[in-house]
Amino acid sequence: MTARSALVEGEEEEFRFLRAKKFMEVKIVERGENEVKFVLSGVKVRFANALRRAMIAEVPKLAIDEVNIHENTSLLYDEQLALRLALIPLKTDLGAYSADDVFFLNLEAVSPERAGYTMVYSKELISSDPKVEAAFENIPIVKLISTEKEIGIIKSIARQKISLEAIARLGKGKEHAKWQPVTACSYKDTQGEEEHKNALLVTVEGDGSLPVDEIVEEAARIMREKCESVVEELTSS
Amino acid sequence: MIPVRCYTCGKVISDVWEEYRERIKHEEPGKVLDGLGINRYCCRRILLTHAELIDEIAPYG
Repeated sequence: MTARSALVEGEEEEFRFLRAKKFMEVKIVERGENEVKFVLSGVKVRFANALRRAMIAEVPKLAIDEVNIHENTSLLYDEQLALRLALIPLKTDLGAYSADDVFFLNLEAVSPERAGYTMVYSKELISSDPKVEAAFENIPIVKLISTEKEIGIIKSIARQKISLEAIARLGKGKEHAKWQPVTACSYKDTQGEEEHKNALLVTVEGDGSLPVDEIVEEAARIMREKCESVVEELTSS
Repeated sequence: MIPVRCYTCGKVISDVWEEYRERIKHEEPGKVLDGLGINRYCCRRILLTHAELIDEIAPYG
């Protein structure tokens, strides 16, 4: 064996040590429709926290940001209606949209002709882009009620109506929770469990607007971009 | 009206409200919530304690 090949071998060993001891390892434990659990090992808590915070505050998604109300004779105030609309998760295709894209969603509903009610659901929103739709169909937005009123011998029906145009935009969780793509997003120490010593169990639950895998990937990408911009700033000056 | 999401964690809970309300007529609320995938206590309390008042206000609207 020459001196040179011994050196290469030594380097390889060190590299293997680095991989085994210092590099991160990800093992998926559980995967549901809207939830993923994975064990992160080989990283410090601060790294997992940075990833968690990136998922909560930095990953963009669509949400209704502005509502033009043409008519609202329902029992909810305009602002209550707007708040409920904003909280509806909208399916977001991150690759396809740019930061200042806007989407219009129209909603029109009337209570019945006779005494009774109509429940207005999230699926009734008519979107300008067929891909932008409510992630959950059956979110009740408002109940429109027709009431019978009797004045002397005259019976009349008071009907309720809503007619509005909602504008959806991309935003980030750091600005408003309606733009937060995750609900429960946390990590915990798995010290007690012999199998994963010195590892963290990360739980990510999405709100339905983005697939969970995409949220984790995008958060990691954002972290990398931030780190790269630091290097760029340092090398350019 | 039922809140769209859980106040605490942000999970959408309103889409199961109507099913929950029907099922608790002959089933145990806790078991119904388990079946609907409402697992955390922050979300469970919203459905468990919600009082639907909109019908009571309707005559005065």
